[in-house]
Amino acid sequence: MNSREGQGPEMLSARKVLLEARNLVKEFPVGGTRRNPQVVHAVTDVNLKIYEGETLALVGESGCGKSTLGRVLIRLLEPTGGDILYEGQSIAGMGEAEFAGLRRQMQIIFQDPYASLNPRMSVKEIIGEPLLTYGMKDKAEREQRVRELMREVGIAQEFYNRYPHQFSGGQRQRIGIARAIALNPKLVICDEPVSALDVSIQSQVLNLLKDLQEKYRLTYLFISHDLSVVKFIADRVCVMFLGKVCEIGDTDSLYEKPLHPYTRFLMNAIPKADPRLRNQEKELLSGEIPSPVNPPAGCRFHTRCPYAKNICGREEPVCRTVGERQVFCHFPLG
Amino acid sequence: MNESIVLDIRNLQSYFFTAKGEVPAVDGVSIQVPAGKIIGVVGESGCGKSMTAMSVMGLLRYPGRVVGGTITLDGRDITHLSPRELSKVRGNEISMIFQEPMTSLNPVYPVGKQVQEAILLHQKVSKAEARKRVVDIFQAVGIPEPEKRYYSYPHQLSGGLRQRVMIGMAMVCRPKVMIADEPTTALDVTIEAQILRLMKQLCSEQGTSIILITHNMGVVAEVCDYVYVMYAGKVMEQAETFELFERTGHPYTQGLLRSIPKLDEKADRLYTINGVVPNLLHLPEGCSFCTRCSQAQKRCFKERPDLYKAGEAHGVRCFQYEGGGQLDE
Repeated sequence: MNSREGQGPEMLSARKVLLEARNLVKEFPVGGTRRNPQVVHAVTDVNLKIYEGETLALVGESGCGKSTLGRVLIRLLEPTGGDILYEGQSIAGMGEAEFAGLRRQMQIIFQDPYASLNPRMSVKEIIGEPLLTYGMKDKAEREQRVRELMREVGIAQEFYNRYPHQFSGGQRQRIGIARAIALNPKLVICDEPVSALDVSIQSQVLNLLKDLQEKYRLTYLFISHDLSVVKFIADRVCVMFLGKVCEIGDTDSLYEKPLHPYTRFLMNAIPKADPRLRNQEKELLSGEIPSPVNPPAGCRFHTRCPYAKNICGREEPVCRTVGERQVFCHFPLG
Repeated sequence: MNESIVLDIRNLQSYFFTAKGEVPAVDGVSIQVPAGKIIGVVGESGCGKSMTAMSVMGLLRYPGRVVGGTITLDGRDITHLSPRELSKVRGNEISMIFQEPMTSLNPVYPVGKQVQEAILLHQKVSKAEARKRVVDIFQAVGIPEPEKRYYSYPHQLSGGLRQRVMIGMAMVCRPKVMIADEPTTALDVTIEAQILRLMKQLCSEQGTSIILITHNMGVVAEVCDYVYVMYAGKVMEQAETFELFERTGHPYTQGLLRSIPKLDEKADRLYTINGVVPNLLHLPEGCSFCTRCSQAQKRCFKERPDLYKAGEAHGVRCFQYEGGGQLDE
């Protein structure tokens, strides 16, 4: 992948869009009748830009569609509607043969380090498989590259022939990361890469992801429900609720001053590791997440939102731009 | 901590006898639970926090066994009760909530019936009376439309509601102690905050003590009165919550707290504790944390430290605090 060399940091400042979602929709059929089919509205009308070299975090509660969106963006799932542009080129309807060349530039790291590695394959086979698929037939060359990748992610060389069950969760996640960066991708979707790990291991893996990003100028779409992890790793954050985007903005400003009520409640709800804060009267969200099969009309958050007015149940909020921030709310917070 | 102790665990040892050797999953753990308090037990996976709970509940199964120590509930030794006697205690005087609200309810019975069963097993009341109590407890744990939910099956409820049912079931006989093993780990943050608030409220209203097992320091800071930090089967540090966060003693606890990403600061890199949790079959000869400790001395690799006194009701298992003398529990 020599094409990536020579791109200096000036490319970052120019904020080149690497991947863009336009009115992206993903629905899953869940039965119903032929006349009245029911679908889960997993992702509805999402517009999103991922700039080259940045880390964009997708946050939200379970079932908000963040993982689905991540998968649709690199076409591990086919979108129901809308378009995806990769470096300005539409990939949503692209044929498989044509897309195969692009696919090596987008990789994914999965949440569960136990389920995402084939137990019957050794480390050399797991990390070597993408290399083989994309034409590195020479065994010696492959071994050299696999060993290089192992060094890169901090797996000792003597583990070359070991199998996944001989590793701990953190080490497995490192193997998954090595596999993902084996082909020098540009974009890596990190789908909750640290949520299955213990705190002391989590910080090791987060540091590793950051180092790799710097070294290889990777672009990350970092999917997580943990807002403190996101604060550490992300440049920009996109908050989702029930398949829709609530708010997108730079990490620091978004954490400092959330404009969407949902973002603020999400921040409030995180248990803070400081007992002095416990007596602060916290405003908590009541109720549960509505069903994505019959999402509420209007603003999808209005059934849980304490600031909701009549219009919120009637009309969908349009995107408001406040500085660099985009917020989808009729009454953004002051 | 001189309030009346409801549950007193002393020097508990639970070992697993496997083909590869003895695994000291819980190795000399002492935990005192005063009435009406929330006690936190924190640690990473494999540190023995769940096994401590299982030992207390008498739920350890082959090849695991309690090999030493005593568990005293309200003045009565329950360490070696027969299964029959134990089942009178369990669910009645001491109850437990598990992490997975999906798998801990029976999928083929309505949730109301399952809670009712807990009452009928332990108390001499009519079915109608038991049913009324179920509806009351559902109301108390914040389940909307309790009458209707009585007949719901587990799959019809969300994760948060299922966990509320579990808490209701655990609370319905007004136990003295409730052990909650990672009760909010499977839940979303907004629901987690609701459940924690509910547990705190029930604890103060009914005077039930709670042992809250978690890996989340945030949860500890939020609700616990007193905290035990466990590592490799041992308590490494114990202190009142404020003391623990403000005058953190043990290098392990310090490392844990420092490696959590903070919301209010921007860091380039996170602090890390090197290495991984040691295999319990091959523990280091000295302090079990010595191989990962940044402050380890020669001595730490040879001798095992005791819990030393580092302050008022503050114990640290580290030689740095040896001057304080042993913590008298």
